Amino acid sequence: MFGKDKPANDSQTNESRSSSVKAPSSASNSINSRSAAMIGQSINIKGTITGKENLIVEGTVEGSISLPDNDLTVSESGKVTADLSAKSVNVGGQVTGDISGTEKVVVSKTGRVRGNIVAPRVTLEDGAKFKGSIDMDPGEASKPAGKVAGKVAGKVGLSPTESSQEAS
Amino acid sequence: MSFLRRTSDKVKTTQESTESQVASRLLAQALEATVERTERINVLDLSGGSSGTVAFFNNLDCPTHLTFADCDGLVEAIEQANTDKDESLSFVQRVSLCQAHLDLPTDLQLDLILLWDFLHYFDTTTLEALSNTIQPHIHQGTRAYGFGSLHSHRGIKAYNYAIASENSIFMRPRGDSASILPQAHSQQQLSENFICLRIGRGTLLQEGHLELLLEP
Repeated sequence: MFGKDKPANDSQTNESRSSSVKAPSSASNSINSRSAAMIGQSINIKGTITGKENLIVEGTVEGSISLPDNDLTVSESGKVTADLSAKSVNVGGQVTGDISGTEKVVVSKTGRVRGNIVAPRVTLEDGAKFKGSIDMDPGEASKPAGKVAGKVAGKVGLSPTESSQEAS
Repeated sequence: MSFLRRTSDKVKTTQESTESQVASRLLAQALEATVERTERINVLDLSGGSSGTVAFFNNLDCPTHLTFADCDGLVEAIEQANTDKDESLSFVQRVSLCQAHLDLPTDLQLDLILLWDFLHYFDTTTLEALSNTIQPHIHQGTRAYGFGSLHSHRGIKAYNYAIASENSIFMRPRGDSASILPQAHSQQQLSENFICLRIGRGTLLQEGHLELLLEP
């Protein structure tokens, strides 16, 4: 899949502080509490984007985006063909590629995602279009089985004994 | 009168007026049987991505791998291929289409399969192909949840489904989003053609609608 390999043209590699990145507009609403860089609607970028600040994509990106400690928003006008990695990812536009969020991934109602999502918490809003798989809470895979079974048995409202009787 | 209207005493109308929340008895059993056996849950949902189902598994404490299959695309691809060619697709061609649209990793073992009503969108040959495709991903603890019709000649209405809670589901009429309508198979047809799983339990709902719990 595109984005798995290193971009063919390294000379086109862009850092988030490049000249094509400008201050965010007030219309970009997902990262308002902290300052964020923005790739504007008329900007096309091919290459690798990395950085240590929040980023809003309103334009087109092909390649990969990695913001390990920050938030990434693909706005409604954004078109991204890339693997995305960030602390928190919010998709309101189109994304083709895998998405990894160390905290959460949200695909909002205008979002279109074709790829796999890995994050502790994933939200798919009504109206969102998604094709792929979702891997939630991968960091807690070492929990004892009994603990998990007990918790979920509680969630389904039946004790294991009761459930056996129901099924028989 | 539709199943939804007849169960109005159990139905809670949600924010979207066309979506209803309907009580389910077998969904809880499918979920419980699944999570008792394994820590990590591998789920295949044939519905193609629904917010309710994602939200439900998001609230579980155990890790979940949730795969949404493109069954709408599969239905359309098979219909289109049959329309374009003089002869119907072969079984092998149907298996190839199923594999392409489900896109399941080779080593994936499924704990829960949310079939919903999608088995009724396929003819019996494609049902066999779908069964053939899913078979390698089934283990003894696999459970599947879906719908059937007690009287297949009455048909089955097209809905989008999602998990609302451990004992209820969301149902929303598909309306214009369904280009192809489901054709209700009898339980015998399902048993004879979707052989990777057998119908373990069926609960009669209203108007001949059945919810089904399937097991290996």
